[in-house]
Amino acid sequence: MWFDDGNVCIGDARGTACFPWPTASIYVGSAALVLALVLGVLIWDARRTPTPSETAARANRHATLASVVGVAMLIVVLMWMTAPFLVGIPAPGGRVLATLPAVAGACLLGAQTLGQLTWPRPTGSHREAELVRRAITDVTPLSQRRLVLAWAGAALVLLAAFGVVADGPRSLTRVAGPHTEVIGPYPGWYYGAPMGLAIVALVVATELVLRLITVRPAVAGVSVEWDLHLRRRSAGHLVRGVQLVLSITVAGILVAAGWGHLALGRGSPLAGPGEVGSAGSVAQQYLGSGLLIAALAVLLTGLAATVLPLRSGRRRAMVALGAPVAP
Amino acid sequence: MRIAVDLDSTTPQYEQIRAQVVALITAGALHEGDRLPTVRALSADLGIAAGTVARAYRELEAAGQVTTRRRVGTTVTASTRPPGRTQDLAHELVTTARKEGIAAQDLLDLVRSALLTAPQTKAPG
Repeated sequence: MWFDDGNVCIGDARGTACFPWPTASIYVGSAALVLALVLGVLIWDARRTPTPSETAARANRHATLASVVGVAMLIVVLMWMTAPFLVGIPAPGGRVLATLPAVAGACLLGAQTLGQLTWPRPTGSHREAELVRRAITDVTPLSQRRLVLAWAGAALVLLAAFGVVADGPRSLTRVAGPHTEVIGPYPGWYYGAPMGLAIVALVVATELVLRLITVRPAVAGVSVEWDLHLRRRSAGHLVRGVQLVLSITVAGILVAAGWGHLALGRGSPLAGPGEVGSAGSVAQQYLGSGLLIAALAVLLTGLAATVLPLRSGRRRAMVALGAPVAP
Repeated sequence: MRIAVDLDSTTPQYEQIRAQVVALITAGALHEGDRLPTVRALSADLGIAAGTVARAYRELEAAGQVTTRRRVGTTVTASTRPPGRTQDLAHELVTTARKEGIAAQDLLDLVRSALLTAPQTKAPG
């Protein structure tokens, strides 16, 4: 990034984009606002959790730090991914761009893993533990895990389907008279293989980190409910973030395929006067439009599942959190 | 149901865990089919080595009080409540001792001395 005659320029070997100061300020300001808003909500949520002891307060801060760092990295990566489309800065390579949502999810998983592995260990010569068995289902609602699996499954099925439909590794081909036109980028195997691997790795890693959250040491001197609340909060941030990046992946696949089929349906611009050209296809246009609408629906669903609170009961549970456990 | 481990105690940690689980089973706080925490989770919560908890579970399994199966984990197999009136009398003894202000350690000493001095009788059957 550099400054040139009152403009802010961003670029590398692939190209350069320069913006006037006001435009750059609006984008940077909007990005900072989104980041501050999301992190503010996380910190507000952590601060309203009643902490019955200093140990509980320390555990609350530790869990919040892991979530805040993870979510901040996730948002920064997603902003980097959307910047080429929003402000026109040079985009990274196609495969890098396609796997950026998974990279964002990996950042979130990495921060949570670090948070759980560095969780404060019990101290003192007198140790206590509840003789209750914890399972992943205790820290994450089944519906959220199913949503993660549904997005991942949908992404893999779509990648496989478009991989079969594609005429080349990353394109559709239209023959218009003597001309052959390549339409792309299309989510063929060129993108599908790394994206598929990234999605599978992300889902497996999510399950492993959820296990870490489940078996991390319990907070000493608090009730089972309080400790479980903290685990659920960490797991909630994780699963919501992962389902968001998976829904963005599904939406991205649908958008790329939708644009490809729309272009295929519009007819060939290459057919000159007197040549037999492709007249386009209404079916392809309908298919392309349908895929774009589906992408929008997926994106909105993913966003809603990220920001909307779970069903009631949480506030009721919050009330019971304040009391320390009886000695 | 909480269990506690005293790291300064002369009683081995696995024995402290084993004894408390047996006590919970005998008292009826743990029932047949109840699942115990995984070795990893309990050792993390207590901040002790996983091998220590694993040894306590092995001892419980050898005594037939729990069973460990893959995918299911460690579950309580059966209540070890003794037949007859002994358990009820033990409850009565503890209640009386508390009423009379006898400390737990003193009560245990009394029971041990009774075990040493009472005449041995052959069990029925």
